[in-house]
Amino acid sequence: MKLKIEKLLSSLVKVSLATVLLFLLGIAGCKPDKNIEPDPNSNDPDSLYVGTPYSLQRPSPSNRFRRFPDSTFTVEGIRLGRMLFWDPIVSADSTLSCGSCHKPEFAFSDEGKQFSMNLSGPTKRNTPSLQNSIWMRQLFWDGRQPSLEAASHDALLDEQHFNAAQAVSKIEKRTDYVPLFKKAFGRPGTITEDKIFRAIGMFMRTMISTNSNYDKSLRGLYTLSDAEQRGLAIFSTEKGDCFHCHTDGPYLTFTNNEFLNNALDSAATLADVKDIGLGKVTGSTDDYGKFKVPSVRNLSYTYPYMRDGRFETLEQVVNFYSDSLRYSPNISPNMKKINQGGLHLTAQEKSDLIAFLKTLDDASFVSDTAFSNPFK
Amino acid sequence: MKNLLSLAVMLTIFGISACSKKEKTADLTLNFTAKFNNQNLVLKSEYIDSASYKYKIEKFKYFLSNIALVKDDNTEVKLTDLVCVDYETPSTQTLVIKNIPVTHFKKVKFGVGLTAAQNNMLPDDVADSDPRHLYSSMYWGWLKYIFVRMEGRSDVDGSDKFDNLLIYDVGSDELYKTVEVLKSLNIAEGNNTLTFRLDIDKIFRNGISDIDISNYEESYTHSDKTNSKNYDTAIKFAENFSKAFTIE
Ligand code: HEC
Ligand code: HEC
Repeated sequence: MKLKIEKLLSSLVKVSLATVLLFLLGIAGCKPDKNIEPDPNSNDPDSLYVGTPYSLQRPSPSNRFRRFPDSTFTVEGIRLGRMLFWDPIVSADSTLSCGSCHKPEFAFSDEGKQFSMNLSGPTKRNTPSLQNSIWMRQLFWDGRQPSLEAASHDALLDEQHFNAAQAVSKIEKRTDYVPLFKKAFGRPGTITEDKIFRAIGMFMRTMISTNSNYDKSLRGLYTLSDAEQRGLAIFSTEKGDCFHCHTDGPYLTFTNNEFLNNALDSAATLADVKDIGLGKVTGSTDDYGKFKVPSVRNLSYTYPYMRDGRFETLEQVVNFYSDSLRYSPNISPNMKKINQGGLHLTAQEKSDLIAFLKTLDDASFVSDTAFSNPFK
Repeated sequence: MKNLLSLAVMLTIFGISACSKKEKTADLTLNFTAKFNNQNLVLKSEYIDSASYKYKIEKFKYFLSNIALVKDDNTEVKLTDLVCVDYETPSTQTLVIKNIPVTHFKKVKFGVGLTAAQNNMLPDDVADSDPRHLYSSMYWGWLKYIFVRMEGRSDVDGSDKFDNLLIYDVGSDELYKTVEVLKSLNIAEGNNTLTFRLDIDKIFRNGISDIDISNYEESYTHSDKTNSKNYDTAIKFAENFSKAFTIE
């Protein structure tokens, strides 16, 4: 009897294992163009709509980085998002679009400007790149927004005194947009603030840059020159130790997604910190002077550098890390040589480091026509 | 397909529960505390170590793996595969384990860091709820997972400026340690607790292989094998760290 039960059990386990396997295979085998499941519990008629799912592609070094967070994309949503990103209709006086400041040729930063012009004057901070923001969790230099949707809403509010409700009513009057909203989000095709930012968010998540010479070298398609190789060693060993903050990490974005003080300004006490950054968001004095660690991809296109665009060239940036670190009480421990004022790199080491940084430029990203102005 | 699956699963569950004899079980709460002079560690507060150096710890996270209890008959009950304790996130400092058999245990076993198999899984390939998830900040391409991440600064020259670093990023398969601690533990019905207590000062001063935080070479490491001094500090830290635990 006992034997029988055991046999029965073991065959059952086999059946269930096989079933599970088959089931998993079924899932894994799903075509990328399989429709997104409508949510049966929703009362929102729009949610029954099924768009054309879009599967993100990006060249992957080795077998890493296959997974994309928050990735519910539709072809129609991205198309609409691209139009809204480039359409000045979103700004109060219909003169500025997102693309006016976030320009694809400059990796979505603003054409070498220290500050961009919004409707009421220069922006408070340097316009950052939007590359690889699918992997970012807290946005803006001070980390005040938790999602790309919230960030785009805020970008407009803060920088352009934009009124989202006003934009909705302007877009409602545009007969060309109504069918596009229907295609992206289903019937009845009402236009809402939420849908505007969801569409723009989908478009921004497609801005993925992973085709630099460095990425190619990981795929065996490019060989780093001697200078680049030496620069990489400086970047990723204790010599320069940039990788602690501008880390390749699990998703090769070259930022650890943290908010830190990298010794740009001196302050005797935290109360003396002028530009408080993250501290304004968290309310904690300990966060005074901490800012987002930006990616160091595509630096040739994103000049000038730092939150206030204080450095015009990479030479200035590297000179800063080498010789001009300034003490303040909550400096990141990873600014190692703070008590010596910096890393004290030789001229050769500086130029090697810059040679490596430039291997992170992605020419195919800044010329990708999928991001260009659709109205031109 | 789905019906067949649920049928198979139901029958399997039925089969298992019908088979097993009824054993009394209880809950066990694991606590992971870090102490300095018998006080709970407070990040960013000033400490003075036994060599009179002042330091602050700003970030402190580590992985423990394969935590298990050993019964008197040497059979083991696995409590958890992997935890990442983070002193910035109180919820990671306790873990409730259900269904622990009501009996006597004589030993606690655990690994400090990740097993080679765990270390080989990519953040891409684990669930969002796994401690190795994409945003754990505990993974570098070239090192794999950082087993222990401690970041802070010290004032070793009495200048009142915390401008000396104190950074230990310790990882790599060779530095994985397994620890066994004799501990008589009677699991009774209801709630039980087991505390993993880590004494910070013991990491630096254990009388056998002290780490001198005023010596630049010993004040930091990121486990870089291409730099022998850097890696030596990692070896020392990993060893001291694994010995700084007591089970209460
Ligand atoms: C007038 C120029 C300007 C316009 C127009 C503009 N932005 Fe920006 N954007 C900025 C600046 C400046 C910042 C940085 C602000 C800060 O950190 O305080 C920024 C930051 C962002 C960020 C955060 C990026 C990061 O990595 O933290 C996102 C996302 C963003 N903008 C999206 C948009 C979208 C979407 C639009 C259109 C709806 C838009 N922006 C329009 C200038 C602009
Ligand atoms: C402690 C963490 C940390 C380390 C280490 C570090 N950085 Fe940075 N880096 C930052 C932060 C934070 C910023 C933004 C600061 C700001 O604007 O307030 C930044 C900005 C930059 C920028 C400007 C990027 C842009 O788009 O504006 C470059 C370039 C850069 N770092 C390169 C390097 C190099 C090269 C090294 C190594 C020599 C290095 N960093 C080491 C934290 C760090």
